[in-house]
Amino acid sequence: MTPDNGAFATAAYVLAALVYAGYVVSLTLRERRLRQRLARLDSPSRPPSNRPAGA
Amino acid sequence: MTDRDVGVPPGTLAASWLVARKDLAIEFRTRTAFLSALVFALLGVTIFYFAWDATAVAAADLAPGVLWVIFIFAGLLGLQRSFGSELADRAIDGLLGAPISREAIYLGKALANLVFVSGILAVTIPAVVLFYNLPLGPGIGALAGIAALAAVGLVAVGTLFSAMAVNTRMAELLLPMLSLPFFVPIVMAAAQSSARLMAGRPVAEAWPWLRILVAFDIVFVTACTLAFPYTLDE
Amino acid sequence: MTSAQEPITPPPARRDLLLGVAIVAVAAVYVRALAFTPIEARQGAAQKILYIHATAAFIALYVAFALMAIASILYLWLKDEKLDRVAESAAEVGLAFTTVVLVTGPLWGKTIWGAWWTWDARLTSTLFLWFIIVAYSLLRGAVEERGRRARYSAVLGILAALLVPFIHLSVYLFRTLHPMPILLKPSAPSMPAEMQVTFFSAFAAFLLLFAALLRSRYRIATLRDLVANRDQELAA
Repeated sequence: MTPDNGAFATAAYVLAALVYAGYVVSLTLRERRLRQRLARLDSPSRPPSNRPAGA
Repeated sequence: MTDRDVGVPPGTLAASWLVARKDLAIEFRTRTAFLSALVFALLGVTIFYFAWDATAVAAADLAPGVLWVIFIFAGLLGLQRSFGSELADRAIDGLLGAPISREAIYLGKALANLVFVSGILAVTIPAVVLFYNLPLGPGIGALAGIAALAAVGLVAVGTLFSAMAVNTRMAELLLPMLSLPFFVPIVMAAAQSSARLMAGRPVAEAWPWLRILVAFDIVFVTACTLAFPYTLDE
Repeated sequence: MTSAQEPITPPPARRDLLLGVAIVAVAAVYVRALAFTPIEARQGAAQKILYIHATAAFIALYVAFALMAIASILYLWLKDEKLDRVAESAAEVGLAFTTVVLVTGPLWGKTIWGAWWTWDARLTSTLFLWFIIVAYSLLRGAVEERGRRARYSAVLGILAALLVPFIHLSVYLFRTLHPMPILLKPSAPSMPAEMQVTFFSAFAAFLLLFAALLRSRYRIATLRDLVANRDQELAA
């Protein structure tokens, strides 16, 4: 008699997908935030550096 | 001027002993850390007794578990202080400037911690025997031996992590977090082997656990000694 | 005191093709496992949890954690910052996979053991792996200076690699001497061909996912260090 435990399988697959998806979202958001910060730091409004001109 | 004139710097073992003596001298002068850890251990042993239904579980069966859990937490208290004294005024620079190997500093600190932990055990084990009505016999001797092996493992790992944790923002929280996973095999092996030996079971039953404990000590004393220099900023 | 800054090349911003392919692969495996793979007669549909549970477990320990340990050793030897970034990335992605193992394990266990948790040797070892990686992450969070953070993490990574066999051995020994109730033994070694195909496809898909997530996380580590370098240059 095959036990009827499909609910467990579904729950496991859904939860696993949520963990992986959640992690992908976290990575995407973090990368976006870092790129924005980098863009702001590299923007022309940066204070003049000590490097010689043309370097 | 030859080495003989100036004085040959001590070899690693001698240097370790000097470092250990320094730490123990500092500790002995105030004794606060030792007494606090000791009181903690004794209180813990007592509290645990009341946390169980004494009619459901015999006190003697409870004893090994209680002993080893208290051992870890009292040990952590002792380990917290091992590098704390070096932090004030960068006292560690004095130690690093001395002509001794980095490994000797680690071994010395570990040795001082071992003495500290052994001191705690020397009072806690009799307390457990007393409060939990353990039968006096060869089992107690075995318990002491296992405690010695467990202490070596605890101190090896704990001293290294103490050196790292002391340089961080959350030292008191970080040391247990880092150390506890490493203490798990120690506690398991110590508790399982001591429970069997104290119940009068043949040594052969406790032997696999004792082997794990000895192997752990050898592997981690070596690994932590080799890893210690990497925890220093130089 | 900060270590000398090595020049970091900024990773270019473009669509992550690898991640896209990996997600499609995993979705395909999901469909195949749930809809096109036969149900195992004795265990029922819950046996299918194997395809995501066992693959996550293998990748967490033998790919993520192993990579973290190897990168740690290499970092202490070669002192290359990139190796530290690989180690931290492998650890975090490994944490995600380990979490999946711990979430799917009890769901499967309930159907074969009749209990959510029975201190099964492998699941318990995975639990400790989870604790170790969390401790690793907390250590990294607590140390601000980059060189020291890398060194401390590397030391912990190597010690953790030494610890894992001891945990396995202790828990296994504990279990064999304390028999726990088992209603059904988990999947017999010989699987019918259809299930084997699903299993190996699942393994390949999740391995691809691991690689994509690792690369993504590595990019984040690189960007973070690049931002920190720029911050320092501006402050100077």
